[in-house]
Amino acid sequence: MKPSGLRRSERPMVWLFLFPMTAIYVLMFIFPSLRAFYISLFDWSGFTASMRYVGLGNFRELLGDDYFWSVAFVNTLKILFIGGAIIFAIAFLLSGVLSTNLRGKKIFRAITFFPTVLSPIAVAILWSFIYNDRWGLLNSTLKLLGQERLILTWMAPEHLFGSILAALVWMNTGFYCIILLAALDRIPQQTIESAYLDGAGEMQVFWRIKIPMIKDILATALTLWAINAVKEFGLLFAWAGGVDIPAAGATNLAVKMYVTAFGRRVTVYRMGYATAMGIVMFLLVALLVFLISRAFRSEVFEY
Amino acid sequence: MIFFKKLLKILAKAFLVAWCLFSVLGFIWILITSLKTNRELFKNAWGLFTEPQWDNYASIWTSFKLSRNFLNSIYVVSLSVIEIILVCTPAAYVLSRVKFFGSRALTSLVVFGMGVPFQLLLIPLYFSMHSIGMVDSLFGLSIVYCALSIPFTVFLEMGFFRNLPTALAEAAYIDGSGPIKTFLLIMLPLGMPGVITAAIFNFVSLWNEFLLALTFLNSDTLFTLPVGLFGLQTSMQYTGKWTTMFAGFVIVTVPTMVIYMLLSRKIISGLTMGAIKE
Amino acid sequence: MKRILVLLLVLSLFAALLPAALAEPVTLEYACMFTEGEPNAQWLKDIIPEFEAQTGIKVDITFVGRDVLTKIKSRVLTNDPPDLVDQDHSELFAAFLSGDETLLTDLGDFLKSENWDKDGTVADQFNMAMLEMYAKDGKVYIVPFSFITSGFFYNKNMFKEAGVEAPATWADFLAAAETFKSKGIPFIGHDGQISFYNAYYYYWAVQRVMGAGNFLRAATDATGAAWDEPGFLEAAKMVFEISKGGKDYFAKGYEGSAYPAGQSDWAMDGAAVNLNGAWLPNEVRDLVENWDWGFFPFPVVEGGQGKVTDMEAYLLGWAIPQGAKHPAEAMEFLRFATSRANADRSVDTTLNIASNKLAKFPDVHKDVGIYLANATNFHLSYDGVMSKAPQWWADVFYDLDNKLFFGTITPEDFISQIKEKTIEFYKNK
Repeated sequence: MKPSGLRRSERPMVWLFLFPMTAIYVLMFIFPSLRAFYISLFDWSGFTASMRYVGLGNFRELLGDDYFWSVAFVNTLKILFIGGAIIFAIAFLLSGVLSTNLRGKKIFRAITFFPTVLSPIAVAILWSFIYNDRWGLLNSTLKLLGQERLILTWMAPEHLFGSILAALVWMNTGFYCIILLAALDRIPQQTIESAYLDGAGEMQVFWRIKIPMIKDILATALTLWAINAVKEFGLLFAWAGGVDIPAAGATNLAVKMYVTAFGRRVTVYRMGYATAMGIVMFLLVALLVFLISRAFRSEVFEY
Repeated sequence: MIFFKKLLKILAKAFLVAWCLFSVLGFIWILITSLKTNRELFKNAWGLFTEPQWDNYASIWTSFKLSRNFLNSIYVVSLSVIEIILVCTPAAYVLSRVKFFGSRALTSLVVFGMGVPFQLLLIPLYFSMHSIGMVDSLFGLSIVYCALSIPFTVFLEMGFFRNLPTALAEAAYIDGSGPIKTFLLIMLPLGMPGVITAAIFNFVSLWNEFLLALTFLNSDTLFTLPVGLFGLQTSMQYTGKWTTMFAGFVIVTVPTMVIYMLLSRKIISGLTMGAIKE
Repeated sequence: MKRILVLLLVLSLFAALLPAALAEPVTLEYACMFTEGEPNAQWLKDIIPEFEAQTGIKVDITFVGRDVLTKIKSRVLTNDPPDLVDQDHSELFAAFLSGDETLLTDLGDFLKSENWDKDGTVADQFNMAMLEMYAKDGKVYIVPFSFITSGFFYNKNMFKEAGVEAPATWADFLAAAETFKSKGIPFIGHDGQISFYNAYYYYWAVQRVMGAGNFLRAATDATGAAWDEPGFLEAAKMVFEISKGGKDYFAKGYEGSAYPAGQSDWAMDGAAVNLNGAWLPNEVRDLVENWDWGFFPFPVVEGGQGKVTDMEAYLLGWAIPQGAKHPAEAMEFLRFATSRANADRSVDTTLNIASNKLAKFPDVHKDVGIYLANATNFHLSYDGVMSKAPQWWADVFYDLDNKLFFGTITPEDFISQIKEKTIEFYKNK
């Protein structure tokens, strides 16, 4: 259905229904957001009342900030795209199996969802025990299988990001899997069966039938992932035990922004500069949300 | 070809089993670790305990207010979700179904709020809350949660309302019921799955929210579960009581898991029903 | 009827409030860096009731955790701060004193006033040289409760078995490392995932080669020229020599060891020494079985400017934010908490070294005590770089230092890159 024009009789309803949301949103969200943009024009520790106006100085500095772009921004993009591709691939695979008539379906579903509810702190510790160089689960298993040549120091700087990404995938997949599952469950079985009878292969059914039929939910899931991926914070931050600022392999935009604003033993305390970083994050998410809604537009609006 | 398809299915199933097995083992490991001594953990991380250390649980329970934290979390998250639904649902309905001057602009404004990292709003928001005397109160925190959840909730609910059949609403109009009555009696019940889905999503994300709770609550009697858990982590790691920390994880995870398991079925039904087409 | 009820209610409210208003029972608000269950929190919970009983001042303490400054930031800004806050001195300094404004209450007069034990001034209880390192314009704003230093903690049994003495010079240190290596025993246990643990090595090497103040000078030198001085290269060579790229005296996998795996392994006889802060005994006390704690400071270098009597002072302390409602009562609490008896109790409960120099010394730190007694100069941890050039530290230094420490870049590359990136960093400011 397309939104209809305003009827006279609907006017009071429009005002009544919109007012509480708009009031809270403007006062508690838009206004502080604008204030945040304003803050990004200042050099400010966040502790004193005095703020030094620097105009676009923070943004100029940010553009030349090598660490921010080459480490934090790149890692965020990797989480977003590489991590996202893996998560959705696995989520599709698992939900595909789970949507068939499987024995113990409910239990499998619950278990798949389980990592989502774990505290990121617990996940970080669990995985750091898995990756331990000498007695970690991973290297022990490799030794057991006689694959000594695959043994690595998994959390050494050059492998750290990949290792954390694996943990991140494990932690997040269940959530998206459950969402996709809900979508797949509602595809009429006959549609798929008749496609098979028509001689369509597994891949064809997936791309031609399943994906189009779950497009709307897929759009929501992707939007959610885009937002969560850019804002991902807990696991990376917990990786350093919460005692130190995370190493390069565990730094993304959200982590970098947090430690720039609030420090973590390292007393950076640069609210204005961190706010400028936040604006970059905002622009990134806004762009992604826009692109996703564009890509799925026909589905969302044409009913 | 059929053989290939079968093989693919078996492989996929095997992958599912392996994936789940890994998660189960992960949880069992946390469980076992919570009953070990520290020495046992670091001597043999993957072994069993010689004697279960129930003390780990006892000491967590006595020195931390986890039960208090738990109740605070339930209270503030439930309250927030109610506020969110009450505030967002009518607005999402209007925005998705009625075109009026500025409706597109307002929709974009709300939806683009999804991109704002809330760390950005921390300090300005604190000023706003302070000026109305709402700092250090669970009610105040729930308002903050409500405000920050508006963009996503409205976005989600709009999707549901947009997909509802128009025929019924038109029929109601013809029957002469007013627009508000039409909403309450016809459209809202139809959109209920969407409302439930939104409620669950918000519940899940607010349940783990840490930074805002840490900033807006000052008294430790008001701390929510993530704040309590974070305190537990610092406390345990600076004193080297790692296995006790795992006992804390178990205490926190199990009730959360139960809640989530009940809710995850709701998520599925909510999403499924909400997406049924005309 | 209703009116009468309301009237009664109002009256009874007044009646309830009136005596309270007359007696003015002061309640101190104290935002604390510890969390419940930590020994330090236990100590405060023990002494606060006594303070309340003896002075009639109530203390409302909140165990916030290490994020305490972030948490009270907004309250400071809205001019509604707690009366008392604690954290390590560098963090307090960076948050409240480093800008143009001074956000803490001057404790000068308090330090000159009589102490709780009435045997001198409050200042007499401390080594004032340490407190003055954190002074601003000659005024002291922070009063410590704990003294922490860093150096090598070691397993005396293992040293005895290997026939090795605690090394005093860098040459001795390398020889000891070689002895252990030849026996197939890892020499240094270390968690490489914590960058500020890795940073101990280069910072200490610079302190020993060039003396205090130089590292900070180089870190804040926008021209980068300071890095051409030979001392910085020499220090880098020292670090590289023991790293995986050099002779590799570390327990295997140190570059990817997640806290606390390395130190736990060390505590259970997996390695001989661990360079760390003096909080280490507390963190591994559950794991240590039947061995004697030893401590030796970072070895001195032949021909180096740094001496063994130069000691690092990392302090945990209290401050009273400006705008606090009850500064006098907060000072009263500090007077009470720094008394000798209470400092003794903190030592018993926390195993930390009390800031009160007259207090007893924790057993695990008796070696530290020997060096502390002979110390003539104190310097900040990391030569103050971490707190005074925090962004350079996080963005420029950490990454390069980790590479050097893991032996993936040569000392020469380290110096040339740090110079280049330092120039770039300051140019971009």
